Amino acid sequence: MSRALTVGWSLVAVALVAHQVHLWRGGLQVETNLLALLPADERDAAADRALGQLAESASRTVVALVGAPTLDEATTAAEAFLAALPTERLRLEPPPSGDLSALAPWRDRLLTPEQRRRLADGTRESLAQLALLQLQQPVAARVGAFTEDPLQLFPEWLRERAAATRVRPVGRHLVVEDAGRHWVVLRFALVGSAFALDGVPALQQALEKAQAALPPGAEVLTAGVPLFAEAAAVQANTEMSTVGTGSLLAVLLVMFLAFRSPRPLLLVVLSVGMGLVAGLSATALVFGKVHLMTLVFGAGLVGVAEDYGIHYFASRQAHPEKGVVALLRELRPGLFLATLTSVAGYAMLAITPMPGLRQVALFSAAGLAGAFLTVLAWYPVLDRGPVPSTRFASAWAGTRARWPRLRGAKAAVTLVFLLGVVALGVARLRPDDDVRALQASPRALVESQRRVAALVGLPSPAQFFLVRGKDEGELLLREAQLTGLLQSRMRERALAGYQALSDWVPAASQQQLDQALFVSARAEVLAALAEDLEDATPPPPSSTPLTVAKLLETPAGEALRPLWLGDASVVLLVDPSKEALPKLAALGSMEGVRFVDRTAAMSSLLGRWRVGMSWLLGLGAAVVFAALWWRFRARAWRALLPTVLAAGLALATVGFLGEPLSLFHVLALWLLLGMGVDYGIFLLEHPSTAAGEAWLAVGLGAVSTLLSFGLLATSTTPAIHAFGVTLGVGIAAVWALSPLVVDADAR
Amino acid sequence: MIAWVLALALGADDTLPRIQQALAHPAAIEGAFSQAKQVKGFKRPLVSSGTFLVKKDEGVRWVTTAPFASELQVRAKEIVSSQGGKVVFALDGEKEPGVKVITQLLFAFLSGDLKTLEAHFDVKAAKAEAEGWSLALEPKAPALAKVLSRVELAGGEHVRAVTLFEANGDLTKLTLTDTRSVP
Repeated sequence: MSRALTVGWSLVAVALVAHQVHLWRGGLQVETNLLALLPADERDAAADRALGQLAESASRTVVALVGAPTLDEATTAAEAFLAALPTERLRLEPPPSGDLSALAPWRDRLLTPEQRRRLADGTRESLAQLALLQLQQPVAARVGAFTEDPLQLFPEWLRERAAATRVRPVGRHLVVEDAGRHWVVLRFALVGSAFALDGVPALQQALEKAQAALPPGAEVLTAGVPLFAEAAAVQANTEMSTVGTGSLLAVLLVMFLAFRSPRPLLLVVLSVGMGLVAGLSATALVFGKVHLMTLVFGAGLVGVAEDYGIHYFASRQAHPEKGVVALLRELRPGLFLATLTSVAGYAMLAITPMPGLRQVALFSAAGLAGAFLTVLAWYPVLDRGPVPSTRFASAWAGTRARWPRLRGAKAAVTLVFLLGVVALGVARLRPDDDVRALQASPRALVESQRRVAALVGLPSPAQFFLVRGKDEGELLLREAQLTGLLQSRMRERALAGYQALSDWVPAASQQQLDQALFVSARAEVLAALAEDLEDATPPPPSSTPLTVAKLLETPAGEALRPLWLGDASVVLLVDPSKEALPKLAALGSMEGVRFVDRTAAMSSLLGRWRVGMSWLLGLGAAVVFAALWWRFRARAWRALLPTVLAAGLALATVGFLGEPLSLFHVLALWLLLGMGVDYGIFLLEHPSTAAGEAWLAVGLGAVSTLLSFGLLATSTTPAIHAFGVTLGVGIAAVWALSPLVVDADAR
Repeated sequence: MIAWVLALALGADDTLPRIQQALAHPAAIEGAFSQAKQVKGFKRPLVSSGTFLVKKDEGVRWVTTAPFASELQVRAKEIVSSQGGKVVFALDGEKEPGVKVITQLLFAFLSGDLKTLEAHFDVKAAKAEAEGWSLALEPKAPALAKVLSRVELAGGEHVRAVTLFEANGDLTKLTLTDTRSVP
């Protein structure tokens, strides 16, 4: 059987190595978009499409605002900025034409609400006087012939459209003026990917180089998804190497101290390496892409995957008289049970709806299985020769016998003390499920993005309205009703503005009414002025209704395309205030209207999963207990209790640290359950306190696990940090408590 | 040929300072205007008249008294047209950055503010003589050229005539009389 396993695993290994060669030759696609970690919208496919459209245009655009006190200075500074900017990664986009004249054929159908009132209330005399009044102003730039639009309604309508943004074309540039400063708006398209596997922030460096060329007094603000993606990639790269290098060094160090021989070290590294290879291949095969966070997390797997090899070599060292095959046969049930509980812990991550966590789960489960199989299949063949005892190993192994024993009152007092600490800490826990914990962007980047959004009027990608109707007419009417209410909310400062298609394309029925108003008002004015006009009765304009499709074909419509989904429309909000979100959400109860708040939806999702997974944790512990019962019967609780206490202590630590409790702490407890129980299993498998080898294996395993997961605590991403803190404290506690509980009544 | 170009260049160099010298530069002026506006499609020019008040750094008040009364306030923060105290139309400078430019230009036309004019226009012809001066201007920026194709100014101590050639073919002739400084 063991021969078949060796051959079988070798064949799998060949396939895995071939797959790795393919991956590292460019077949590996790495996902950096943090949103990809989040589940799709729970209820609405249209919301997802809207998000997809918004994300697609946003994910490749970088915006730079070059500001200076005067327009001339700002323009000069912008030219200097552009001249110094390396163009390999950023291509300057020409400013959108902003040419609204393509809508002139529909001028008789486009009226502002105010114009509707004015025309409806006007008499022949008042309208004619209004037309003349406009003409007699010294500055009256008229659009089109007088008889076409005697009241100059179209330019007024255009002005109202243009008022939605403060950005104006000036010369060759777009310029926005604010608080005595002029800002030239430069838009760039990203060339290539924002992902920097090499850890070099190429975009940031390019922008900084250009910034250095600015004349004094000028400044630049940058914004755009690629900058955040790059920052995340660079940060993940650093953390990946910290965690990976740290845990590898830790493993090497303890292995060297314990065994002082290259063979155990190389073989443990081999099993860990095979584990990582199996994890990466499985993830790439199942998901197609591997997310950055999976890689960061995967680096921490080193600390767990090495436990099997260490346990094996500690046993070899303690029993030089036993043959390799015989020893493995003895160890197999314990190792198998340990792998099973760990894999089960990771598998719980896979049932969450978050694709990112599913990846981590698969990566880790496949990785642990790979490491376990390597020990089982290859060690009998590769591990030939003795594993001599070392002073360090025997000294360490000897500490198990000297570890304090807890019996009777002492045990009760300790237990009560620990429970007291746990209760105190847990009482301080404050849950916070803010989805923004997933992302820790540099503060300067966030601030710059915020200012650009405010200056240019960038809409929020996280909150918007979806509007539907049985046809385009109904949809646009509903949208217009919604925007009417949004305008009153704007006066209450709930939001700075909005973008909606119905501002540009009124519903067909409204267009018909507007056209009737327009034609009659025009006829009144022309009749009143007939004597003065060369051609008093030119034919009325005849236009076909403006549709969304026609609008989107015009130059003005280009920028509006993300608002149209075919069967639904999107109303984007500019700078909605956080306090007013409930008020805006209330508008979602209108017929055919839905308010989408990505941030709130995700946060509430995380919250529900935090509570759900917490309850399930109890069930998980029961399942683990059943597995332990199957092997250890009445002693099973001794393997579980240290882990349960450690979980309590880890939570208490989070409470004492004052960090908000999130789903990620709870998920870390699942991992703790899977891994912590291993230590109990190893010790219970070798119940005699004289059997120091299991204690050595647990100690070596715990130290390296502690280091690798402990290093995750240094991550600036709150979610990864949460894993690090919980597992760091938890593993340390299991390590210290296991012998207390397992050996409590041993002699 | 070279001498002629040189003379022209020298002449141009010399003329603007002389115009600058000829103009009084009070902080505020007021006077009367008559306006004849030839609008395409109309048989006759539309004639109106009234009074105006121009204040540096503030704006222009344009009060039409005939053929019917109306008032136009042009300021950097807004342009408001009213009739009998009732607002007929208003442009908010906060929302419409063009308002600031219109204010600047109208002020420059009426007061002869050469510095502002030179910032927005190329000087195509300039003449300065004992009895008065004249200027022909064309816009520099394409955006402005979409509205105004040419502007002609004439005057002495004050601006006396402004002719605006609008890009759409309309022609506005302003004649300013009784212009005087206000304290």
